[in-house]
Amino acid sequence: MGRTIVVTAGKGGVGKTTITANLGASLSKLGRKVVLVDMDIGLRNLDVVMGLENRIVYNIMDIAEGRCKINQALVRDKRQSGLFLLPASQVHTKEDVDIDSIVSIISAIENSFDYVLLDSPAGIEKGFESAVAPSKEGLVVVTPDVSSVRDADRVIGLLENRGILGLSLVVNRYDVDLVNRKKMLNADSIVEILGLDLVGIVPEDKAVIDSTNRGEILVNYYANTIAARAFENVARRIEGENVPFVSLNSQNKGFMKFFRRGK
Amino acid sequence: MEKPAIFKGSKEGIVLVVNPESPFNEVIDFLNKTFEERKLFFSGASVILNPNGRLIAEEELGEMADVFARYGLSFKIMGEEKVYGKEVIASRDLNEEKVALIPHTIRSGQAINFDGSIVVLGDINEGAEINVSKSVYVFGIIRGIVNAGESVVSLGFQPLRMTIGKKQLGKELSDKTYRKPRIAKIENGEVVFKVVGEKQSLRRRE
Repeated sequence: MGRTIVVTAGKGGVGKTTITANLGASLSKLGRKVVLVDMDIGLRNLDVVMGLENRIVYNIMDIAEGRCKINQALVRDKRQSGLFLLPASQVHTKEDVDIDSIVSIISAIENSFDYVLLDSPAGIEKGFESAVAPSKEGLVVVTPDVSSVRDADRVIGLLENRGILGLSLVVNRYDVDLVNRKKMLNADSIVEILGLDLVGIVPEDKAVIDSTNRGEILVNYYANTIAARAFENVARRIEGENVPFVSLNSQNKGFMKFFRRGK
Repeated sequence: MEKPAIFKGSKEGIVLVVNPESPFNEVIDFLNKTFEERKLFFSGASVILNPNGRLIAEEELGEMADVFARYGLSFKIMGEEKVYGKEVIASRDLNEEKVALIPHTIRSGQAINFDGSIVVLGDINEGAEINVSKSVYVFGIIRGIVNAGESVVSLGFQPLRMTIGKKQLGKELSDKTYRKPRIAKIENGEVVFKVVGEKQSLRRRE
């Protein structure tokens, strides 16, 4: 049975969808069979980020309401054969979702995939609830600012209350320059406040915006950028591999070296 | 009664009834033998001595106290308060003290209200709120809001707002950030942050 992981943050705009897409593509590159589930009913985006918007026929609400079978709604990625998207409905709202039927859809999918990644919407309302209900693990995305850290803390509390204890942390949009000038929270203090296992630090990278706008996943399109490498490291750590943090051990020197090599 | 003494159970505890006829050295032998054989049964017990009409001399009492002390035990004479044998540290009535254990970090949006004291194994993060009538013991760092009746002990202080007793601390807390264990309590009407375990004579730092 596959691992079902919810990608969540509380705050919007921290990169949940980007991380879901890139982590999914990276896991797929490692030979895993992955399905990405867009749980942002009514405000779907994962299809656009993956560039699959014109291939969608059915969505998760069609399955839930009995208009199609699960296999009919799954969209295969245009580049990777082991990567699938289960799109959200754009015409429904989060209030229309029946959590029980989402849970049964996901538990049916789990059997035929190695990973089920649920892209949670921002907020802690029903959309969040329905993304969390089927999940057994959580990946909390945080950006290095106080509002994101506080929202993440709240979300971690909610996840723990629901018995999801396998939680890991990704720090996204990390700007080494700002951190060095003490204008941004550093990764160590974020980990200290949130107390989760860190599985990745993804540096701020303009290539992310570029690839998103082209409808391409970064790790496939600009595979040599620093952010793409960071995403791949996240995937390897989630797979259980012990990938050392270049950036964390020698904050100044190591990370700057890492940066120059990227460019 | 044939034995030099017998132990009886009662509501107040274990009662030692001495045979008024037996020679005193037999009583001592009996005690030694019984304690040796049934160490576990007596461990930590407090015994009440019923002289059963026998007059026990001061010397004899001392001898009995030595036997009791050797086995980590103590006794009282029935109707008296003085404790003989091993010194027992005055125990508090634990039933009256309510303590709750919270074995994890308290996160933003979580609130704990408790009539008594709490022990937190983790941090109290920003956005979390604690209200207790007695004390808070934190094995972590306080970043949120803490309202306690008596005292706050923590491995680190960085609180947003804190109330101890009726004394509330707000923005003046900004210079009360500590990365070492402290105990915050009221002294002469003011909240003081003392180093845990610090002796009065030691020079204050910070």
